[in-house]
Amino acid sequence: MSVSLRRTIVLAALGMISVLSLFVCTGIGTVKFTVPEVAKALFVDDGSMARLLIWNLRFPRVLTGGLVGICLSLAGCILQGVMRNTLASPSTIGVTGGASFVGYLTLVAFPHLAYLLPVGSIIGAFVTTMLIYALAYQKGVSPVKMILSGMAVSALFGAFNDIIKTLFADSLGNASGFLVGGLNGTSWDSFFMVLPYALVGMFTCLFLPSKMNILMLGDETANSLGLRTEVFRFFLIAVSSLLAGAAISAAGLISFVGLVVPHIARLLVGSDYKYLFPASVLMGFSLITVCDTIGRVIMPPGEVPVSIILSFIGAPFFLWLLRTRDKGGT
Amino acid sequence: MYFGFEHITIEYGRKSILRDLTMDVPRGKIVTLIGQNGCGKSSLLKTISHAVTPKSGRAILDGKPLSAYPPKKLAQRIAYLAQVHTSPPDIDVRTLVSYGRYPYAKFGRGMTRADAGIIDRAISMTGLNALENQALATLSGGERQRAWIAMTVAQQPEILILDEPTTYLDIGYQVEVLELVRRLNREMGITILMVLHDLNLAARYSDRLCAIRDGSIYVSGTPGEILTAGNLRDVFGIDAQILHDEINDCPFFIPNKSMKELPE
Repeated sequence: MSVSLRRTIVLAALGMISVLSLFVCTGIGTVKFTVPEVAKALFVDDGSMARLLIWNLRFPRVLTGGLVGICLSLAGCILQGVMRNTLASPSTIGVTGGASFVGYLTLVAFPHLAYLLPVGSIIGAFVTTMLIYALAYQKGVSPVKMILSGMAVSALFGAFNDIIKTLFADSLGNASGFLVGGLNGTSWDSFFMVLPYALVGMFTCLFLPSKMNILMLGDETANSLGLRTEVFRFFLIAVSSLLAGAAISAAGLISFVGLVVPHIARLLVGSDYKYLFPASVLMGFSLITVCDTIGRVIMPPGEVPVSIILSFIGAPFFLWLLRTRDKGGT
Repeated sequence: MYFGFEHITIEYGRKSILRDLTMDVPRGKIVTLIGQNGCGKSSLLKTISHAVTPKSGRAILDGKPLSAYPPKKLAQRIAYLAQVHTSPPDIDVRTLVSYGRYPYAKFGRGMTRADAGIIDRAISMTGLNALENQALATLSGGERQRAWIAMTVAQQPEILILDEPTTYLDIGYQVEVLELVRRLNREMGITILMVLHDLNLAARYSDRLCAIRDGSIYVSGTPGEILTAGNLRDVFGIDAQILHDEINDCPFFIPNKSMKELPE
């Protein structure tokens, strides 16, 4: 009883933090506004300066960031289940590189159809995940193989991406978040471009927890409990690609969210996916909105991309994780 | 045939493991597979959990191949306990046992009160009441094995398959686990098929033994028929004397020496 009570409290707290971060991060910026000004700007279109800054720039940026955080965290949760390996995440296994590669190709091939960008990066994410899975999977993914294949795939796609960026600079138009990495310049357009894919992905996740829990018992046990593990894995890879691809098309390369969030969520609510998914959603939302806000205000008048802030937090965390795992913790 | 295997051939690459093996597991009996390391007894069981795909042949339930059953329907009739278990370390005993109800779960509906009752009974049957809220990682090897068995009990199977259920356990826990398996058989009528390495325990707790040699069933029968000096020589390459346990009325053996010649 105490365990489930604790989980409920943790989830409620995370929910409050998310709501709080949504409004606080919308209110904070290099241009200062009072709380009533912010509230008014969110609800009344009076054509003021506050309305322009808050409604047209900050609010969609916070929402898009939150959505990206949710997508990356869920994708990380799912990938860790698919690979049965807690070091898996969109960035560590090279999915981000593959997704942006196909994203670039889409922009170059169809320069006037910017709304195809998420489709491209989702396909890229899917192909890359399948590739890593095939390279590293053998009754559970060996961490070393997975990380090494991920590094190789990332480096390869990174090189391709640089070539495309150099050769086709003109046709790469204005998908700014995707190209630069980060949330600077996100608008309502970017939010609504990603929203449908994110919603489908999140909705699908509602039906996954009990099957994910069974999958964590190992393929032999899961199969004998009546779960078709091969089919289910394939499905999960598709869902995680949908989520990761959507996130990448809005904000480009953002590392560590998909790795750090599921881990902290697991520490807080345990490994039952019924709690792990909601906890990851809430933490993913607040982590990116808060880090992006820090990036916006830390060095005025300039701006530090959210990916850099996240790397400062995520990279040491990743190293710490590798170290604790070596001591025999799984 | 109620349950068993038909013409199973398993190959790993070029290496032939089992050749045209056919065996029958009678309803309500405890059948134990014995044989040397690498003889293919675990591989045979793994064809049921899809961990091994036979080159030809199939497992049969009620005269039909297992592949003819929808996976969840099959899981309501056959439970399988793998040799090596993996689970997140923090899940508690009751949660693990509740996973045994997965084959009965209806889409979009949670656990019913009936499920909770079945889980309760599985937990008390395996003597885990005091531990039900403890994380698996905090249990001893024997307790953890009982928790996994409780999960298969919650599955309410007709048939329970155990792949070396006593591996890594000391003798106290080995006997405890096998006593439990026998209670599941005698009290709940569950047909048991398992692999054991300890021949004395196999003889003590089984209705039938099947010895595998050279890729197929070499002999099968009651422990008294199988545990003979000749069979131990032929199947395991040991010279042994066979004695009789008067208290439990079953044969046991004491090895004298290996009859295999070590290469120079």
